[in-house]
Amino acid sequence: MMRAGFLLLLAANCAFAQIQYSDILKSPAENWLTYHGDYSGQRHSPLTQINRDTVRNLVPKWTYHFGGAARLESTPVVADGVMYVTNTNEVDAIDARTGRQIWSYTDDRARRSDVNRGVAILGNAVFFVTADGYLVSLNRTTGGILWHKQYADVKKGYYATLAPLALKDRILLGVSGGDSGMRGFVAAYSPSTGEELWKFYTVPLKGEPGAETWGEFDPQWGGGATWMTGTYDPELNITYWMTGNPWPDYYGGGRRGANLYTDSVVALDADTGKLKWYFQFTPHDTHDWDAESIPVLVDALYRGKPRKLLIDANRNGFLYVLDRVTGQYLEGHPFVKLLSWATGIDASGHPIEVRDMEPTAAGRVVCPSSRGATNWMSPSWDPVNKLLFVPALEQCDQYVSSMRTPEPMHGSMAGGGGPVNGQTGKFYLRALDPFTGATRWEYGMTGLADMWAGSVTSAGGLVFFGDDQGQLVALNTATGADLWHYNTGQLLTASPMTYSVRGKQFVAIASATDVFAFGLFEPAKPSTTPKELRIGGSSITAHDRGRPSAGRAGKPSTTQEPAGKNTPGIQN
Amino acid sequence: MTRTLTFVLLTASVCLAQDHGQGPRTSVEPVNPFTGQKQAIDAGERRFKQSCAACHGPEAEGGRGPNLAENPDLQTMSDGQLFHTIQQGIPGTAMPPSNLPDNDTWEVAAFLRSLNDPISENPVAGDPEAGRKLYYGAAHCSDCHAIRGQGGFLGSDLSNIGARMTAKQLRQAIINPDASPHIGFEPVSVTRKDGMEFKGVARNNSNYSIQIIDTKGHLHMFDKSDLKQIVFDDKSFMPDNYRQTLGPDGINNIMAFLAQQVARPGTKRPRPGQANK
Repeated sequence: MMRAGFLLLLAANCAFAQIQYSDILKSPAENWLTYHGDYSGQRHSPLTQINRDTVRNLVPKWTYHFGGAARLESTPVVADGVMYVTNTNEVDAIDARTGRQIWSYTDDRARRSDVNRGVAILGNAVFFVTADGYLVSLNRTTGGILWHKQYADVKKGYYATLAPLALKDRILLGVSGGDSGMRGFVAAYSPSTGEELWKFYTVPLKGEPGAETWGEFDPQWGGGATWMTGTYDPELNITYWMTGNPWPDYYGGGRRGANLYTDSVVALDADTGKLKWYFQFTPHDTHDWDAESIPVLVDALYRGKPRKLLIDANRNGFLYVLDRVTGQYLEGHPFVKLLSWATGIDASGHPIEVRDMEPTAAGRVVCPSSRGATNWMSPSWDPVNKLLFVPALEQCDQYVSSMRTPEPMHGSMAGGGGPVNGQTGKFYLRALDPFTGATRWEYGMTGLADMWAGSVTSAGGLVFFGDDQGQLVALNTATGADLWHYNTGQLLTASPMTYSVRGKQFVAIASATDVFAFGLFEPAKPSTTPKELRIGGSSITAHDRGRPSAGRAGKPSTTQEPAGKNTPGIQN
Repeated sequence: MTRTLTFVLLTASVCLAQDHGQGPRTSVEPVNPFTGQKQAIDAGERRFKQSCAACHGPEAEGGRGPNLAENPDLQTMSDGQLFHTIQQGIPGTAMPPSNLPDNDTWEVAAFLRSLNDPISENPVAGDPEAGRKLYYGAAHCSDCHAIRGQGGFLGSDLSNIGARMTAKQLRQAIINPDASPHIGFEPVSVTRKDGMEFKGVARNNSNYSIQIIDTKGHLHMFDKSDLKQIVFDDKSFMPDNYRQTLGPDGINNIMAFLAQQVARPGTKRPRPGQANK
């Protein structure tokens, strides 16, 4: 309590430097303040400097290397000209205009080393999760530790990879671990102390609503992980979270029933965590089709009426449109051709399943593959053409089941899926019209179907995405015309974003080991070096340092003040 | 580039590349029963001075044999490997078998660990509560160094310092701060071409840009071509007279307080052959 009081006192001294909830509501623009850029999950930026005409002049501006990284999955977050990117158990703050490091924080005591997808920002703090389930709050300007609190226990099968979601005055988190047994949850924490404010479990206990969909299965190991950041509608005050597969992944004999609320979207009251409604995409999943693709929130005229919609291109191969006020199913369409487990979606939103599609001991070919028709790689929305751009994978798998319930927390999924006769799948970026199911255009990718890269759209009429050969590509959103590409030379396992500093727009993407930032070409100017002096102990006096008050009166901050003459503040 | 002083000190301490003849790995790794115990460490130090110091130096700082303090090779050895090396020597090198009894060998091993393990895992002499008062009071440490959000920003964050520095490194950093470069915290004063001056510490610096936190805690990111003059100060903001102003007790007390500053209290640096729990 004392510490919280002290922090509040200091925070009051520099309110100008804070990233407020109201700022996040205005993102993205110059800033990109959340994993998705905003709360809607649309990944659409209003920036227009890089557009269909100028993109031909897009060139690399800088590269930032993460020493020791092997698989960055982070979407960079940018605030006031500073970029925050994560690696496993690490956050680095980078000058977003030059790619120079400002600080780096590593938790070298973490007991796991899984991937990480990024940070949240609120106030003057950066939040991220360690792989072993700690929520860490760092000072945004210095990288100093504010606090460090365990929120999920590895001894209960949990680990953590997602970017936190800063929402009003709380930090929302989910958990990983659904492939070896655990009980998924979404929870909210205090940004000043890490104290838990509410928690919603995705697998009900015996006696709770939904428990009847599990038979005798122990809910402690039911799965329903929540490993991708949710979205949020501020008007409805509802946050939407996707849930992962039931466990064990490939054998459902021990968990007879629909297995609520796995492979679902859950709509939670953002203040209490209470379930407002849910919609299950894949009942009683036995193919590891986590519903972790992003629930994109779109307001549109739907059949002539303005409606609040939730659109999801699901791992199970269908593109869904729901009413996000009520959860009512409106329509659904297949978005891949290789889809064999269901013939369609009925009027109530249930899949019309084909018989005998469960994995067997001998193996059974089912489409889509266990990687899904899409996965966690971000889709993006084009509000002009009303199109959702989805990385879609055409692939079937040979699904094998061990037909028994394995021991929890030993990494066993009671089977698995693998390529049929060594056939790798093929990725497409598809421009989907969710209201007809039509593919307006598509971009086929060469490669071995290794990639995990998503997309971003901009008001410049472009969609940027990572292809299956390590290339960042820009297409015309309306036509799919191929306008620009750049070979990073590395596998892409993250989604791109865009931001602006000092009036210059950038597009950035994390590759396996680096962050690449691109901007419009400008002819190099000869550099003028300032006079540089090096002296020993007299130039900067105690008075300049303001000691003893320097550290007390102020608080480190990253500010976006007008870069006018004689105005201290951020100089970007 | 701008990792903390800790990192600088750790990398600076890499000073041997000699094979230390790792002992055989057994399926059940023995664990030193004396690690972190003051009495055993003191006994081990006495034994070390008798049996080992002729080659490795009285402070294990190295001589004919390698430095054994802050030694990355030693840090990655399991307890069993360390025990075996002390007792059996390294065949084919000048390192002879010590032939010490098991108990004495474990004590020497505990002493060597104390020179390599973070201060949070070792006994400390001072009074942490008195150290806390000094840190936030008369010694003015918190003017520049924050711990969990309390304190300044012109020095490195010390919230996890107990897990990052050995006792010797921490003592050196306090009493002789200018012995190592202050990467990320170099005092700097920059003047823009419009005459505006900014003073603070350089978190990063290249030929083309410089990123500083000023004395009010604001971050500025300048292009060098927008600047008229840059003045670096080789002397850090850290006072270099703590030895005189605080005395041995005061320094011990501050070290005892800093030894408690660990991001994950109760955890230890993982050791090869031991589960990292």
